[in-house]
Amino acid sequence: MPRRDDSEDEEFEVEEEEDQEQEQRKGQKRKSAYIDDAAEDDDEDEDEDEEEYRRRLKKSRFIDDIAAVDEEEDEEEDEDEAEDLIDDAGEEIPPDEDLPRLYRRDAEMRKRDEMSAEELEEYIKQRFEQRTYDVGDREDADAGVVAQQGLLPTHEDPKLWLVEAKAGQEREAVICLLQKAVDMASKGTPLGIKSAFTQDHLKGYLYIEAYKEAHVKEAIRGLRVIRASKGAKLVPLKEMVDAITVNMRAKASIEPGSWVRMRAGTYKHDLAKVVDVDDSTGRATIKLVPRLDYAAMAQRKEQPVRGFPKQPAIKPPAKAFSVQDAKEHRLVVEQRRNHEGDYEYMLNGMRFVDGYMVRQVATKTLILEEAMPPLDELQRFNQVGQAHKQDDHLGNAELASLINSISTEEEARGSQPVVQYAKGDKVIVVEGDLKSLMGKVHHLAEDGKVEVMPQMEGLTEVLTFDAAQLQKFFQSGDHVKVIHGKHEGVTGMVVRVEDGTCYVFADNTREEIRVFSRDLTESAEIGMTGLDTFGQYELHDLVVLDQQTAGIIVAVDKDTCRVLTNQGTPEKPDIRLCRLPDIKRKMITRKAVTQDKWMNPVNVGDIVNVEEGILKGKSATVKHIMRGSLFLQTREIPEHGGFVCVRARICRVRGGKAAPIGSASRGMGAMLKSPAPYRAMQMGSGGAPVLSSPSRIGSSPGFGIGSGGFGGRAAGGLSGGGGGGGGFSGRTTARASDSLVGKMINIAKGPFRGYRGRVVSATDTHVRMELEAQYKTVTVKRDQLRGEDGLTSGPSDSRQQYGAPHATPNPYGSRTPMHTGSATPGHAWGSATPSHPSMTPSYGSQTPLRDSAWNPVAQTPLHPSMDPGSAATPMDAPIPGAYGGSSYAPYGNAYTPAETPAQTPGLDIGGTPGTPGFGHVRTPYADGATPVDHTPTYSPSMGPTPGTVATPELGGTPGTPGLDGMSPGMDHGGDHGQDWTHWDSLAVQLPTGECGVVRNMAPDGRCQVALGSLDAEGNLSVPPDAQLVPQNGSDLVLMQPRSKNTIKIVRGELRGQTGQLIGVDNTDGIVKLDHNLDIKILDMSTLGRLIAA
Amino acid sequence: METAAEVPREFGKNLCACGSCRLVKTFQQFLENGCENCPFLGMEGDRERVSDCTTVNFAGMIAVVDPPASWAAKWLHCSKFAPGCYALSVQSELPQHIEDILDDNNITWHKRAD
Repeated sequence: MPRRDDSEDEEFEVEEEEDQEQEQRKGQKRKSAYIDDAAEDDDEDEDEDEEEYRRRLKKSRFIDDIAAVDEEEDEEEDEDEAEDLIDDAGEEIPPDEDLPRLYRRDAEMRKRDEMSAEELEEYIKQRFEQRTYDVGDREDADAGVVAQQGLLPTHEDPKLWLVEAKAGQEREAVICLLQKAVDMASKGTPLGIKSAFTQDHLKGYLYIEAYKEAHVKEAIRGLRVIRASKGAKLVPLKEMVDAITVNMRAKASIEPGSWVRMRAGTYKHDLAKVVDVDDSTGRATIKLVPRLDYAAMAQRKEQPVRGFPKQPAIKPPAKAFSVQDAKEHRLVVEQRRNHEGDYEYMLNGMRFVDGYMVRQVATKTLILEEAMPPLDELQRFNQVGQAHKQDDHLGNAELASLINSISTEEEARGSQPVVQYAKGDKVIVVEGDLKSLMGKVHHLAEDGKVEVMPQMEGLTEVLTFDAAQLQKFFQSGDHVKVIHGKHEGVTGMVVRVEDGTCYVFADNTREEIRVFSRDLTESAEIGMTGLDTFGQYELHDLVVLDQQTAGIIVAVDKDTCRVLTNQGTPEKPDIRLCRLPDIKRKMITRKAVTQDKWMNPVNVGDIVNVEEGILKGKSATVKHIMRGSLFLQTREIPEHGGFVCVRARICRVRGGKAAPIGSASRGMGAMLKSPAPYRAMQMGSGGAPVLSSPSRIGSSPGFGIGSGGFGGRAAGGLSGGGGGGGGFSGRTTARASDSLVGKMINIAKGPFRGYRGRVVSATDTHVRMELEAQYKTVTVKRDQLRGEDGLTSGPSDSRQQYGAPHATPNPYGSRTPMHTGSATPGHAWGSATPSHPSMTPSYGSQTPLRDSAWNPVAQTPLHPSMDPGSAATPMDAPIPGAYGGSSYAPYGNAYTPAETPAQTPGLDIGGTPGTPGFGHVRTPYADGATPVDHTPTYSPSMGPTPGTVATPELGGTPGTPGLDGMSPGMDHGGDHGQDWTHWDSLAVQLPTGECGVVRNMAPDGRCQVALGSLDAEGNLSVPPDAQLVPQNGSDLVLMQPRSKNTIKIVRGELRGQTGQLIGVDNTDGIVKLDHNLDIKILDMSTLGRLIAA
Repeated sequence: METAAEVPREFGKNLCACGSCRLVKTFQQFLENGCENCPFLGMEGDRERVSDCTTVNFAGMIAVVDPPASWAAKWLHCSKFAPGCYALSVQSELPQHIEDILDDNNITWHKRAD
């Protein structure tokens, strides 16, 4: 022993003696009871830390400041150096203030040796016994946590021993022990055990409280349910409290509204919702999605059940109960109303409500779903109820309630109970010694602890709490922000607080919402918007859900959003609840363009008037365009953020033309017949006027083009020079292109060859078109286009007109042999021929069509007439710009004299039908001009020309057949005169863009068209009661058939025959004829799509 | 050993715990003899009262053999009760009229842990 110990000992001795004295007085008896217990001895060393633990408790209990200080230091040293301590201490001279500690340490050594620690404690405990022990009373139970602390086990308490029992029979073991104790006590030989208990969660074990292991062994001996052979294990003092404490959290009980799963049986692991719980019987009423095998049930009914019904090997799928299904299997379903007035059905003793099966089960057979069940399972579960409600209109309400139920359930269940505190949050302590203390969060430690500055007089120090010990605290009038949950982001004022929940009056929605106070934080901010982002998407984004479906995000919740899709109508909007993975991508449609009812282009941002449906008369702003659908936003509908999805076809752009552009432009073709020629006359009226007139003609673009092209041809042939006219013809073409807008056109060349699309805009060299097959708008050179409908044939007509006269004079002038034929009045066609090549280049797309039809006859004679200029001319022709100028220039030069006379008569004739011919006549001049020699011949020929040409052309009315050629049937017309006889039942497009089937075609072209509609694949369907619109055949455009379509041949040798279009090769269609199954290759323009009546 | 409460006659699902003192017995036993600790509840012969005052929703079970000497009984505030079988914790709440009876008898029962 170190030397100083002696003196210290002396001092200690005094204390010690005192202690001993006391002990002897009060503790002696007790000591005899247990101190000398062998078991006690054994533990002593093992349980050193226990001792410390106990001492700590003692500290708190007795508030012995000095002792407390001592011990704290003691503990440190004990940990560090344990036994060596003494020796080290001996080598240094301790400072004075250390003395008490050294005493203490030494005393402890001795205590260990002498077992005096127990006695010492005993003494102290005796001294303070009153204070600690009176808590045991039942009446003091309410004293709470603090008092409970006083009940912590001590060394003098009996110890806990862990023994093994048969799994599942722990309770039985406890009861048996009790029974045994009672029996033994009645025999006069009481068992030594004090109690025995079991925890529900601890399978296969139970605790026995006794002073001695021997007592435990005695108690468990001979009990069947306890494995006595395994012996008893001592539970450390420290763990005793844990052993007996029931974990409340884990014992979340099954309550109405809880989600549970079945533990076994057919419905094993199926999700069910608790409807009602009867605690006293331990049974719960649950509803779940039935798994019924109606067929099996029907079978079983016939044969009496023997023994237990066999469980099906395969689980029938979970499906809503359906009376129809049951009845189909001839099962007897009893229907009745329950007290809530809902129908319920009884089948084989099972009860079904709203498609769910409702049954009573023991709560033991249920597994409580602690967290929120997965969303998809929930949805499946909820869908059953929804599906059962037959009223479709409830769909949306149901959906909303589903969302609500999901969110509120989630809140209620606290699936994410992690509370986020922020500095400055007002909190209240809800657990521990300082319960009910209020304070403000001062600091958040990294380890999740929260430092709180208490708001109580006398407490000025920051206290540290576990987050779980705190709760946020709000009062009415606080302005808060929701930081978690369904209403995240909402700000508002607390109007009411009800334990743990706050009622918040939201700033923006002016609604009262119920929020857990843990999800709130105090905030001065006023959030005008709720959530507006959803993953990488934002509210009101246009997003793609699948290939056909796109929609606008109209509402965002925590992990779902609602999308208004293009599949719905304003009457019945299609709102889908989507999760992030459901959304494929976002669509940017800022540049998208579509067309309204009147073919006006509709752009994003335009204001449109809705002209049909329930929104009729309302106007709205176009927010997005998705193919033919417009997503409009309007203040006039409150739902879905004012968004609505409508077809573009039922809208009219504000400021847009109400008259259909299409029909106007197509009408042009018709106009050509009479008025255009009239203008042509103007054009032909003189040198200067010639230039200006085309521009005036602009309104009849087709015509302009024709003249430009034509002139071009001729001029090119002449000189190829003279740029002056370039502007002119350029202008006309530009105008011409305007009329292309809105037309369906095929692309004949270039990278988009074979595509078909609608022209969005056009310049003189290029057009932008929206492809049918691909969702995109492309720019295509004009010369890559192939005319698709009346539009382009309009010009072709004018061409023809030109051509006809042109040819006519030519023959006369040049006397080429060909003309003889063509000179005859019937020759409309023949006369057209020459014009044709000239057109070809400028209307690249059309050329092929005509070529095939005309070339054999026309080309040959034509060329000669053209050639004088240059063989190349036709090739050059595509550049129209040059022509106009050149064509006129030569005139000016070479023919001035000739011209004047020529014009004059033309003019005179003016209004007369001859006029058109007249315009043309000039052109031939140009042609003819090349060989100067002809000039003389020419002029004279002039005279007759108007006459000749006039007759047929002018007829414009009936004689105009050539004119009619503008329609695809034109070639035919050229060939045989317009023949409408085969048009019946063919699919046509009207000038208005509508589609239909020709009915009752009269020989003169008058007919009726039954309006139909095109579906997504371009198939025309005509309802039987379709509206019949009277039309003129010349206004109609045959819809080009597609592969596999039934077709009818409208021109050529085979006209009138029907067949099937097997394939399409550019402009040629491969047709299998019905009557002899021959395969023919025919020009597509001769084919019409036959729609069976 | 002082007069012990009845030992439950069964082990299974029929066990109920008294809502006031947590004594565990079978429903039938409560019906026949009431609760040894809480005679004021007057459960004898009153089926309805028994189901009001007892619950099957309890967790854990302890056989208290020697209430005054047992630490566990002390910890659970059962030291003054008759020896018997008790629940470690009781989950359900008592109906208001039963609470009133308890209040009238100056009994502070164990509210559910909050």
